[in-house]
Formats: sequence, C-alpha cells, structure tokens
Amino acid sequence: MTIDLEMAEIAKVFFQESREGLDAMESGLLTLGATADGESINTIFRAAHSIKGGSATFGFAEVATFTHGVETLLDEMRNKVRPITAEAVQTLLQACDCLREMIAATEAEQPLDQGRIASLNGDITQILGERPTEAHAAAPVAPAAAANSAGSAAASADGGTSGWRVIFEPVVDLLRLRNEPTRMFAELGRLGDFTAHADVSRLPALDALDPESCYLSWNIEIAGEIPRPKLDEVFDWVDSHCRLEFTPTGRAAPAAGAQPVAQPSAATAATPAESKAVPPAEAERSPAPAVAAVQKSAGESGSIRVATEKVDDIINLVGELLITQSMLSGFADGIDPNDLDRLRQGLSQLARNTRELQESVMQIRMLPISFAFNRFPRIVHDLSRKLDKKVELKLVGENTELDKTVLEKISDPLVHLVRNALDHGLETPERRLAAGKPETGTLELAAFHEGGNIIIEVRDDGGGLNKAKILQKARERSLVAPDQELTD
Amino acid sequence: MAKKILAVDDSASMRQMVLFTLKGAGYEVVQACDGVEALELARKSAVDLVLTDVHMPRMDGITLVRELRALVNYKLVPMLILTTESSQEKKMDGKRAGATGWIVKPFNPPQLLATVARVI
Repeated sequence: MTIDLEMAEIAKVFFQESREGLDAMESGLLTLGATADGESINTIFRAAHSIKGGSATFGFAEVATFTHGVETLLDEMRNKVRPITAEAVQTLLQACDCLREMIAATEAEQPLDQGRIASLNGDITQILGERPTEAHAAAPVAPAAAANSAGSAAASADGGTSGWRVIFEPVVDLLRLRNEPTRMFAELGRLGDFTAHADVSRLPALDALDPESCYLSWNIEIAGEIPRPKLDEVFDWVDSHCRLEFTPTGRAAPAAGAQPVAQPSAATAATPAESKAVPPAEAERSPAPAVAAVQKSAGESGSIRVATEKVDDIINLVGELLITQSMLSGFADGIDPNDLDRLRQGLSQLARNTRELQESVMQIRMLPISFAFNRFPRIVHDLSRKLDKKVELKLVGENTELDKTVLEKISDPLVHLVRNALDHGLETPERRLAAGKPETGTLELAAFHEGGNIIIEVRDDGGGLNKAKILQKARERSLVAPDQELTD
Repeated sequence: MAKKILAVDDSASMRQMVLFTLKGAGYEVVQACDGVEALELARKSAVDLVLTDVHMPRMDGITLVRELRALVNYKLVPMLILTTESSQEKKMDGKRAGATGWIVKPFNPPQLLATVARVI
C-alpha cells in the first residue's frame, strides 16, 4: 500500500476522532458555566489541540487555521488569562458547529462555507483582541509539507558560503541532558565533509573524571554550501546547553556577513555557557504533574466500534442457525430410535448454544441511551437562551441500554417532547418567581427498566398547559360543544 | 534486532500515523494513549526511544518524561516530545524534564523518520 493510500485511511480515523473530540468539547463547554473546574477546560483545550495537530498533519490547512484561533482562546481561558464569559462560550459552541461542518465537508471533499468560517473567525479574533495579550497573532499553521520552505528562503539570504567554522562547547552536563555529541556529528556528516578538533583543555585528571560528564569541546570545519538553518537544526536541541559560534568560511557572505556572526541567540555566545544553562532549582519546580481526576466517560470504557452492517449480518446468520437447529430437531423425531437419545442430547445442547449466541449477538447492538440523551444539553442550552428561560437539565439512567435501531427511531420524537416542554411547559423566570417556584426550571429525561419494558420519561416542573385557555379556544372554533365536559 | 520505540499520544490517528511510518521503516513500535499507560509499559519492558505527545489526559508528556528519567533503566534512553511550533516554552519544559529533543508538529512521515534517525 502506498503512503498516500495509507494516510487517507488514517485520515478517516482522524475525522471520526475529530467528531468525538467536538462532542467532548461541546459537552464540556455546556458544563463550563456551572462547574468551572480546571480539568473540564483542559479537556476542551486538548480536544481542540488534537484537532489542530491532526488537521495540520493530514494537510487540512483550513481546519487547522480555524482551530488555531479556537485553541488560542481556550488556552487563554485555561491559563486564566481570559475570563470564561457566556458570550465566549456561545462563540466557542458555534465554532464547534462550524468545525463539525468543516470536517464533514473536508471528508466529503465538498467546498467549505467560507462566509461562516470568516465570520466566526472574526468573532474569535475580536474576543482575542479585546484585551491586549502577548502578540500571539493567529499564526496560521502550515501543512507539514510546507514546513521546510521557510528554511530554504532564509538560506538564500545568507548568500553562498563555501563552509562554516563552528565552535561547539557544551556544558559538562550534556550527556546527562541526554544529548549525545556523536549523534550530532553523524548529523553534521550528512550535511557535508567536516573535521572536528577536540579541545581537551577542560579534561580533568583521571581520578577526578566523571564518566557521565562531557569535558570536551570541539572546533569544527565543515565544507559545502550549507544553509545556516540546516546547521541550527543539528544543534537546536542543545543550544541552551552550550556555547555555539558559527562563522562562515571561504567566500564571504554579503552585507552583515563581513564579521563573524555569533548566534543563535546573541546572549548564548556572549556569556559563559554555564550561566545560560538551566539551574537545577528551576528544573525542580517545573510544571506540577497534571494528573487529575480520571475522566468520566459514559459508556466509553471497553467499547468497540463495529460497522452496523457487520452486526446485522451476524444477527441474520444467527437467525438462520436457529432455523436450521429447529429443522433438525423436528427431523430427529423420525429416525432410528437407538441413536435418538444421543442425537436429542446433542440437539438440545445446540439449541442452548444457539440461543445464548443469539442473546449475546443482540447485545452487541445495544447502546446506552446516553447516545440519544447526549444531544440534549446543547439543545436545551440553545433553546433556553432563545426563550429567555432558565432550565436545568437532569439526565437519569443514561446507561440503560437500548437496541441501536430503536435508539435511532426515538431520538427525533424525544427532541420534539423536549422542545414542547421548554416552549409550553416551563415558564419564564419572572412567572416562576411569581408562582413561588425557584427561578430555574427543571427538565428531567429518564430511562429505566420496568417489567420487561424500557420506560423513557420527559418530565418538567413547569406550569403545564392552560386547560381553561385551550378549552376556550376549542369552543370558539366549535371543536368542542359549548356544554361538553372533557376529561384530562 | 529492530529498535523498539514507545509512541505515546492520546489521538488515535496520530498514533496510527506514527505507527505506520515507523513500522514501515523497520522499527518495532509499542503504543500508549497517555502518560500513565506509557509509564506502566516502560516499567515492564525496555525501549530504545520514547516519542510522546505533550497534551494528554491523566498524565501529560512532560510529566511522563520526568517520571521516566527517574527510572534507572531510562536514564540514558532518548526521549522526544511532539510539540507545536508556537510552544517554545513547552520545548524548554521538555528539556528541563529530561527530554532529548522534540519534533515540531505538524510533521510528515519523512520528517519523523529523519528525526528518529538522529537519536537511534
């Protein structure tokens, strides 16, 4: 399989994963207002971060650029640089919707809704610009393929050199900092022919020598037209742990190239290497372990993802098996009486096995009702905002399992019931207060087993329908006779 | 014997991409989806290189590197963190924790292989 084909396969995983990430972001954002613990904002941030990284890796630059803004905003919220406001949460929720569409369009290779993307991007940029933060300006993330182009552009600015003299003076801790100079020399060798003279002046007497320390430094002459960024790359993991000096040799570079250039950071070359090295104390107090509460994930533990068709196939096959088994049982009634007992025994065992197999296969298609319930926090959030009502949504029995096909069928009717409850059942905060009720209404979605059935309840603590008013309307339209009395 | 690499990332697609790239180049790869799982795996068997993402649930990549460095078997094992361009700070955090170096995201398979070849 070629790389491209394989990458396309992996991209599919990325799309699926992004959808899950967006679901996690959405449900996280919906709980942010209520319980603002550090871990939930971290979870949201990580989801955005993964989508950004993945989309950039798989070459979906527009998704990556858009997510970058979202991620920056979340990062500021996470680090408490920016407050978590209802408006910002609303914008982020819309960004989730937009990203969902972008992912779907990208997967289907359809054009993106540029207008919507630009407008939301504007909203995010506006929030980010509301108070000066360090110039984190939306640096678009270039797709992986373009990552090196900057390097070659910078190289041409150096003019041509026919080689470099490099002074490489590592701190004695180099090895303990897990950097192996021989590997760096191997890397240099890939760039061109070089000679390295070891400077042994720092080498102590044998009895004072610590085998884990690096006492050597090197003067390196490397030949060839090597762009400076290539050299930087070789040393970029260690440049804070050594004194480095790069001097072009041979043909002089134009402009500033006349005198030796000491880099990468001027400070590194100017001050003794040791002062630049990280003091151990600082290493001690680097970030506290972010081991936090284990993620609660409804129904995620130990689950597998199976295509529905495959499961349907198995269920059909098991059905066939059951039929064959019962046919054999019937057939057994009319054969040689001597073998009959053993045959019957075998058949009853087959019957038991088949039944058990069917039961466990049916079980595969069972999903927790949370799959249907999970969309409601967002629906209730949006709708209550629109209606200016305050609603707390309670989900009960989310792990109650239902057949996937049933689950899909009840989802839309449930939405209808919930909308009704919000529209007509629950009152506005003022009316609730006037009626002596708490300002925030409660809407409960519950699922439970009862006598072999699964009961799904939608319950609210609102005023309900105004019976007198409805009856009056019905009489006005002559739907109900004026003297007719109706039961509830 | 094939060099063994421990790849740690909470994103399944990134893990697959890393796995596919490294296996294709003849490395043996073990995977973990967060720092806690990686630490457990690393305690059980030795690896020649650790590649870890930074942002992960339960235990992040920086903490993982620091925890691994505290194990006697991992004192000298190269460890690379996968990080994004913007996070100079993370690179330095990584170095302080004991990482050998980093790979800047996004990267493509050849870039990943070139970086891995620098350390093992």
